[in-house]
Amino acid sequence: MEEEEKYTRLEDNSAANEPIKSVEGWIVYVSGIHPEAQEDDIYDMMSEYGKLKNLHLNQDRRTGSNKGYALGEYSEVEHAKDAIKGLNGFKFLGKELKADFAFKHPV
Amino acid sequence: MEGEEFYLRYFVGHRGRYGHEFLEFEITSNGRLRYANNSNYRSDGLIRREVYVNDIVIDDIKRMVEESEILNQDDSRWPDHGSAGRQELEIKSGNEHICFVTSKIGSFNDVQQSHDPAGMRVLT
Repeated sequence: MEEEEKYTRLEDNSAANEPIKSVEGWIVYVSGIHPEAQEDDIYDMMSEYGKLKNLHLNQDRRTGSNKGYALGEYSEVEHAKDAIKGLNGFKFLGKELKADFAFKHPV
Repeated sequence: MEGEEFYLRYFVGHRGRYGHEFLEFEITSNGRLRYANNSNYRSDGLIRREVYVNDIVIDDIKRMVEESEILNQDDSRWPDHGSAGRQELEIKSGNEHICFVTSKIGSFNDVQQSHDPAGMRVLT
């Protein structure tokens, strides 16, 4: 269908068993974040595995607490893999975190 | 949670001096996330992007939908969409299916002044 063609996708150069790269790096999604956690805490925690290019800890504009998830971007895929391994199941402020690559190959 | 049908779509837009300006995103259970944004401002056109997200993202969106209790709300007393623009929120989750339509919200004060501030607070 022509309609399908109009949505631009990420360039997919990586092998099927390797994570897909976003525009400039690899995006790690972390869930289970305590609502009172601060961006600095998450930045420090995720920087343990390599240099972070970008971090988003989105907040609820009414309550001021975060939404319970963070998106971190690493330039090196190995750093992202280490972060996922290290953060998955890690307890932070009494809550168990989950971590994985945010994006996958089209299905 | 696994295997159950899930669909979420959000639209916000209005017609004005830059044509039909809108932003829409939708996400389906297989992880397909689509985003569209249109504006004729400075001869901009329609932008459409598509990515596939992992289960961790879908599961977290389901959590947010559940915790917000949006599926238990009702848009019958929410403001009609007028010249200021419209918002739509459609969610299919298991056997439940909602599609709310209301006006754009400029500030939290609009929510307080509406006929259903408690319900509309969930939407925002």
